[in-house]
Amino acid sequence: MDILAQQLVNGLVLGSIYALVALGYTMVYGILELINFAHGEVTMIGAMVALTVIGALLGVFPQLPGLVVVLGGVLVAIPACMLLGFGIEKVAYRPLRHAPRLAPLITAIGMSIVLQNAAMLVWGRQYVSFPPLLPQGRYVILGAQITDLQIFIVLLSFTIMGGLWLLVERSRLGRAMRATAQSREVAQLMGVNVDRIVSLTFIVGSGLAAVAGVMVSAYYGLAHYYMGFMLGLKAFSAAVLGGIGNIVGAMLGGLLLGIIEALGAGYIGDLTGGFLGSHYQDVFAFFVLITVLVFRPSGLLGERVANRA
Amino acid sequence: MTPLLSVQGVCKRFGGLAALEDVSLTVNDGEIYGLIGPNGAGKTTLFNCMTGLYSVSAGQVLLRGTAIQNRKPHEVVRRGFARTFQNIRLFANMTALENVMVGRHIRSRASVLGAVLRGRRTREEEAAVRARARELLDYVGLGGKGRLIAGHLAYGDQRRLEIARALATEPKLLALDEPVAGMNPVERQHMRELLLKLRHGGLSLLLIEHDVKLVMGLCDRVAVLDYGRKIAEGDTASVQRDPAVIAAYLGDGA
Repeated sequence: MDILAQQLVNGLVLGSIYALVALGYTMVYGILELINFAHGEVTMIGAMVALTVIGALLGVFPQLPGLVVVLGGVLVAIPACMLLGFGIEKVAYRPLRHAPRLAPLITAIGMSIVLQNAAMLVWGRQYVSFPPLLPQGRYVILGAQITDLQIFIVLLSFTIMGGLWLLVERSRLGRAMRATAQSREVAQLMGVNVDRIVSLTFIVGSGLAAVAGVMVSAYYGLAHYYMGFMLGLKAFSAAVLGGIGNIVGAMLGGLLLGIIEALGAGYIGDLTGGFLGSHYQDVFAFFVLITVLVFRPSGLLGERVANRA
Repeated sequence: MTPLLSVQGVCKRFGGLAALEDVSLTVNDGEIYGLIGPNGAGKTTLFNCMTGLYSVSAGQVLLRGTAIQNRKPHEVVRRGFARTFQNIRLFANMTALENVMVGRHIRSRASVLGAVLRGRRTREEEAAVRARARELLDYVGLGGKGRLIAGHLAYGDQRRLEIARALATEPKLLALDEPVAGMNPVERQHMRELLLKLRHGGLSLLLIEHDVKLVMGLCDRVAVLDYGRKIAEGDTASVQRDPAVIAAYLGDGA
C-alpha cells in the first residue's frame, strides 16, 4: 500500500511535467503535422538558462530568498525558450513548409543535435546541480511522502494547463489555431495570418517547455546537456498515447505515462523476482509507445487519421 | 468611379500547361456577376488567383484600384474580398458559431496577452464577436443552430454556414464557387433568395455556377471561360445566343 500511494504521487508529479512538454509536441503536430524533435532540447535549454541565471543571482545577491532566485531564473528561461522556439521554426521548418514531410523531420533531428552540442559547448559535459533554494517540507499522506516541491510542481502544472485550455478553447487566437489546425488553406482564406499562428504555436509550446525544464531540474536536483533527449522522447510518447494533435490528449497522456512509469518502476523488482530493478523505469514509456502504435495508433483521444481528408 | 474588381490580362501556367490565358473582366458595385464554363475551363483557378491562393503568371487583379494579385490570402480578405468553396470546406470539428467567429478574426485584435489576462477589452471584444456571429447565423437562416458541430449540419445548412463565415470578414465582394451544387430544388430556391438578399444588402457577388437556370435568372452579367480563355461576356440573353458559347458547351459539331 505504501509503495502504491508513493508511486502514484511520484507518477503524478513526473506526469504533470511530461504533460507540459507533450503539449508542445502536440500543438505543433496539430498545426503543421510535424514532429518537432528539437522540442526536448528546448526543455533542456530552459533548465540550463534558468540555472545560469540562478547561479548569477546567487553570486551577486546572496541574501535573496530562494524562491525569488528561482522565479528570476524561470522568468528569464521562458522568454529565452520562446525566442528559441520561434527561431527554430523560422530556420528549420518554415523554409521546408511545402517540402515532402521527410525533409522537416530530418531538420528537426539536425536541430536537436545542434542544440545538444551547443549546450555542451556552453555549459560543459558535467551535471549542473540545482542549488537547494526551494522549501523542503515533507508530509506523509496515506503512507506516501509528499514534498513541498512535488505539490508545487503539480499545482503549477495544472494551472498552466488550465490556462492553455482557456487560450485554445475560449480566445480569438485559440480559435484561429484550431481553424489553422483543421485547414491551413481555409484559415488563410478566412483572414487568419497562418504564419503568425504557426509562430505563436511554437512560442507558446516553448514557454511551456521552459517551465517544464526548470521543474525537472529542480525535481532531480540537476541538469545536463543531454537531459532533453530522454525527456523529449517520453513526452512524445505521452503525446502519442493521448492522441497526437489533441491538446487534452497530451495532458492526459502525460499524466498517464508518468503514473505508468512510476508504478512500473515501483513493482518491476517484485514482478521479476528482483531480476530487473527500478532503473528499468525508462522501458515503460517506450513499451507504452509501441503498444499504442500497434493497437490504437490514433491514441486515446485522437481521431482516426483517415478522417483527415 | 473605379470598378470594384478589375481583372486584367491574368495568365496562370502550371509548368507548360496554361490554365488561364489573358483573362480580363470587371465587376461593378452591387452587381451579381456569373462565371460559367465547362468543367476544367479554369473558373476555380481564376478564383484561386484572385484570392491569393495561387500566384498569377502575368496580369493584374485590382480590388477598388489596389493590386491584390500575389498577395497573401489573409491580406486579400482584409481588403474586403471573401469566398466560399466548391467542395464545402468548413472547420468541421468546430461549432457553427465558432466557424463564423473565425471569420471575425481579422476584424478583431485581442492578443495573446489579452487572451491570458482576459481584461475588460478582451472580454467585450469577444462578446461583440459572438454577438455578430449570431446575427450572421440568423441572417443566413441558421438561427438556433450555432451550437451544433459544423460537420453534423445538413448539406444545405453547411453551404449557408460557409456564406455566414465569409460574411463575417465584412467583404465588399463575395465570390461563391458553385453555391447550389448538389442541392435539391427547394434548397436551390432558398439559396437563390439568400443571394438576392445579400445583393440587396449592398454586397457584390461573383458566382461560379453550373446551374444555368440559376445563373440566367440571377446574374446581371456573365463571362464564359473555355480552356482558360474568356470566350464571351455580356448580359445573360446575349451570352446564351453566342455561337462560341454554344460550341463550347455542346461541341463544334452541334
